[in-house]
Amino acid sequence: MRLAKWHPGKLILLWSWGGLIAALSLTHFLSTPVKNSPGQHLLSFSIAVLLLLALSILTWCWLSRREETTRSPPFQPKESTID
Amino acid sequence: MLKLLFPALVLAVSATPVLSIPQTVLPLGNKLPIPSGYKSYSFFLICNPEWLDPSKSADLTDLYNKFLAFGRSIGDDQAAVWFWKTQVPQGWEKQKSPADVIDVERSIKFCRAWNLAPSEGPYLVVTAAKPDESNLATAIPDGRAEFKLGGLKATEISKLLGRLTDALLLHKTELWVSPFAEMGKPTSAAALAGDQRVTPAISVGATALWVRLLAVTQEIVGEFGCAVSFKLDAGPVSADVKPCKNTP
Repeated sequence: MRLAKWHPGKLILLWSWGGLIAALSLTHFLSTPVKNSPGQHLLSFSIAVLLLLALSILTWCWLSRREETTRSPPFQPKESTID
Repeated sequence: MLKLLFPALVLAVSATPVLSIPQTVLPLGNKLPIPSGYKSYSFFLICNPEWLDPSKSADLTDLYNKFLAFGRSIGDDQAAVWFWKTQVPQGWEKQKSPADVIDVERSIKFCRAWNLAPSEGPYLVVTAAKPDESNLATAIPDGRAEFKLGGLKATEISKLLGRLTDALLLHKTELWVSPFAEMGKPTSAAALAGDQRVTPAISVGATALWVRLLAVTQEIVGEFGCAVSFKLDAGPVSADVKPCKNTP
């Protein structure tokens, strides 16, 4: 279950659901005045921000690892031996 | 001594008082500051000029009478403030229209500073400390309860004022904490009047810094969302987010 080996589809799924939840949280955050329920608003805003941040970090790591694994080692031709 | 001099109901009028209402009432000049030394201040704020329409005269007179009774019943140590702009003889309602006597401009300053939408008023705002009129926006008093009276019937307003009187007399300055105002759990004026149909309009206690920051963030995010337009067209999926328009 190495991150680099994840299929891009997994990330697309995570981003889809994460984006949906973040959008709903942000909608809740924006829909009513903060002073009505400051605690709930703080929670909504935190969920939206942290979720997007977590997904961004995950994607960043996934891309970085893929770069490392796909980087080919320098070409070293085998020494041919002539009998 | 101050408590003897200043009445429970403080009426602000422009010149020499000619009001001959009960002895607990001492009318003040129009631009005279709100007196200090009270345990609480109840402001009746009319910020919507529609209320000054002659057709509303009877309703306004009724409201005034209710507020007058409220001001007298909460005691000498708690102020009830109704802003007048002119000399107000008793029975003014038979001689003048509300527009001639009520100082809406002064109320509007409070509504603007305390972010009260005029269309949802009039408001009854109870504060634990005297607001600084010269610096209303930044010096919002700690402990403040706001009641929207716009959507309430006369009987509901009577109930509200009755319960508010109970709260002020029995709980004193704890009004903003109990029995009907819990932080983070807004309570409505209607609910206070025993009616659960109308949604709340109460803000309680001093606003903490983090709450103010959160409110500013909400404002910024909201404005950003209204300012940008975004269009995505990716073959089978397309989305179009347009800047929001102000609805009338």
